[in-house]
Amino acid sequence: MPALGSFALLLALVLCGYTLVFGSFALWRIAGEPAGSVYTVKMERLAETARRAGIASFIAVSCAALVLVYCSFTNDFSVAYILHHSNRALPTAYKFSALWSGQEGSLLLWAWLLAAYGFVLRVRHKVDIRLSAYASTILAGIQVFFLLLLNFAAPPFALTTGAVPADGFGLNPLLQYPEMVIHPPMLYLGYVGFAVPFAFALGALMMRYPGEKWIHITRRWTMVTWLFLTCGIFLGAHWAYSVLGWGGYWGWDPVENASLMPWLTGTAFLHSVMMQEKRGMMKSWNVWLIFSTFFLCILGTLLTRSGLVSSVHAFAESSIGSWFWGFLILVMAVCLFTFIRNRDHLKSEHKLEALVSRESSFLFNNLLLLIACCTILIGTLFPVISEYVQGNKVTVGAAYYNVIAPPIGLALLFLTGVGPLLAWRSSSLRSIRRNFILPGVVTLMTAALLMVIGLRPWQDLSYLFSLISFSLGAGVAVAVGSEFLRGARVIQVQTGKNLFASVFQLTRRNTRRYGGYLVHFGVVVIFIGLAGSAFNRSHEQEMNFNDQMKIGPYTLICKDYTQDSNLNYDSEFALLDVYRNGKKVTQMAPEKRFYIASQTPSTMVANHSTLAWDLYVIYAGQNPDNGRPIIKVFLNPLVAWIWIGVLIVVWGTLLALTPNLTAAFSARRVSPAAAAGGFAATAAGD
Amino acid sequence: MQSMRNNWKWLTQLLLVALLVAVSVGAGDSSGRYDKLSHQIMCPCSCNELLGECNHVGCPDSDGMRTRLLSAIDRGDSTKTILLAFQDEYGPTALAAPRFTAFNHLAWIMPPLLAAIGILLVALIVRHWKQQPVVAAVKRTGYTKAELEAVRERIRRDIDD
Repeated sequence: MPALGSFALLLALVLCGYTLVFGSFALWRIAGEPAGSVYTVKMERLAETARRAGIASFIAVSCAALVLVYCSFTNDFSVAYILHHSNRALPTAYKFSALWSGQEGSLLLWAWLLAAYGFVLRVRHKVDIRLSAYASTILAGIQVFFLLLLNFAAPPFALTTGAVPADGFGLNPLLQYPEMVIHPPMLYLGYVGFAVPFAFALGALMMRYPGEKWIHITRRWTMVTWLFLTCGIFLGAHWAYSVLGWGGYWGWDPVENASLMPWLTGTAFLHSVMMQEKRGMMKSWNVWLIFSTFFLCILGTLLTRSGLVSSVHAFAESSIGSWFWGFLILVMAVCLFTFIRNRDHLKSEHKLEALVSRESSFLFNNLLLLIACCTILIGTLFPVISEYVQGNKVTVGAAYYNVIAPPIGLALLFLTGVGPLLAWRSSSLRSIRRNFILPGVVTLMTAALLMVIGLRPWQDLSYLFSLISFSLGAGVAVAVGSEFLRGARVIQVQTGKNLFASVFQLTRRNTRRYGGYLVHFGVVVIFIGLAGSAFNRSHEQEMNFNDQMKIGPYTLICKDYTQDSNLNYDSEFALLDVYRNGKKVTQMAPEKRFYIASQTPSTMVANHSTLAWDLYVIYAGQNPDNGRPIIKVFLNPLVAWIWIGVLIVVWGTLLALTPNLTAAFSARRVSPAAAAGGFAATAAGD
Repeated sequence: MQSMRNNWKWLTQLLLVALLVAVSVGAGDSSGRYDKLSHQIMCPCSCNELLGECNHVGCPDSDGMRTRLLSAIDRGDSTKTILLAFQDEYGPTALAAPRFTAFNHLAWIMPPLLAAIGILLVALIVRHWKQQPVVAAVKRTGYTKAELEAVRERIRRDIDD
């Protein structure tokens, strides 16, 4: 089987190389020839063979990925990768996740996802044949890099040297958690997915693509990719919260930062393309935003692989960082060269008409997102720069980001509410007054109310950030709600339907707009959850049978503590009854595991989550003198709001991806003959 | 009009009173100094966690460091003295954020500096846009301006209904 996997990877490299070389050649020749000539037709056929080779490469890479999964499931320890990342006692689901638990496997996952995206793009090429051909060739170029790595620098099917051991070394215990089966693929779907809008943007620039249709084509790609990255980031946060056992969900680890940076530029891109779609503005900016997003995806992978910065993700560390540096520099050079050659193609067609307008809110939104991205980039790379300049590394951790990041985040939250209330081109004073009075009053009233009930912003910076966050959140929520209400009332008057039916119809009429509002509301909910962290409490105590521990409104009573063992791990855990107001609420069992194959410990957190707070309990260890468990308890307010907010963001994005009700009806009304004619025209026009 | 003014006056007075009540009710609380400082120091046991959050059983460093921190606070040492003492013993990576050298201050200065430069740039861009004439026609092959406008109009409808 390993030989089949290696062959499949080699074949995929050859096929992608063909797509890149002959695809580029055909496109280059077609560009210089008149349409319809014999030579052009020949070159178009060559381009078609390149497209088909690209499709075939997906089958080859899929075959390689399947072989690796098969080796994992059959405990084939003759493959060094399986030996190092699996063992016989590993549960089935984690045998599957062994595919991305190490360097070679995660690179194979990258290559497979890229091939899958490329497959969809090549199959749907009739959307715009010429532009798809450019994008396909660029994607093949990226794919060639990853396949070169897999074939020569980090081969996943390398064989074990010497005698094959009877059992493997096991999977990293931190990865043996249900979310780890889904978090890395989600994150990778996001990282890899940005290669598609990148390829379309670069292709459109290379061929001097007329108009903004390429943005319309890539809109869904970009949103789906952004959604995957969002889910990946928050699944990672939830995993850190549930597994690492330090009571938090975001530690500003360099690899966490690396995933956040492309998300920030991707978010900026999703907003600023609207200016290009609607007003033909910011073309160069948008091209560079999507270029930067892709660069940051590569940089993120580079940070994880190269060991450039120390991180909890160091398990994927290796010497292939230099390959990524080379690739990053090459891609940047190609983008810069293409931009310089074709920059005259990117002139704005309209100008900004007023400072108080939707356009300017997008400008400031982009500015803030970029500042956030640059700040995180500076913080992430500062230890490396410091070592170079001062001769010693410094730590840039939560103590830095928790001061620097909140003001930027709060300014963004402010724009989340303000932006949608401003009109395109220019907002009149009357409309500003009409739209802003209610949210403004709600913001101020919330701040005053919070201070009256005991929130003292002058006592601590985190309290100040929380106060602003709660108040702005209330104001933005009212702004979003009033947008829904205003539109729904118009429909209510027109149709006589009730308010809920009117809101539903309104949303279906313009899914993109109201899906966007829903996303903004989700962001508000996330911010409220984040603001709760200012009031976290914790307590640590050694507990004997029937000992009590009090935190907030809860009382924990230790009912038992014991040990257990299975083939995969040994464990120690405590059984704690939780009471609130004298009434038993739940029983919790925080646990400490010791994985046998990898000889490493791991924490299993017990968490009782409510809308108000999380009772988060960890088994910190045993007192060696008397064997009693040491229990650490955190009371973390409003954490559940973060996960609910993410669900709302996902819902809003999915809504924005669905077609409008009227558009769907119109499409149904088009006759099949007209549809076929339109399709042919699109294909012929390209 | 008069009633609207009265409403505003009433609302402003209400907010002012609420603010005054809130400020007067507030009282200083310095009991969180240990908590604050333990979140400005890193545990050096390579767990990459803050001293206040390191929960490793048998960690060779964190217990001793916490005891030292508590006694320094009891002695009444200043924040700078405490942090410098930890830096001297465990090296610059013991501090959770860059401090005490001119170069380290750069890390704190850069974000607001970037923000200032960004705002300046945006102002320049807006000025440039306001001065520049609109490009009259789109010089491209294949698509006419009318076609581009039609696409934009469709998008406009998509967004604004």
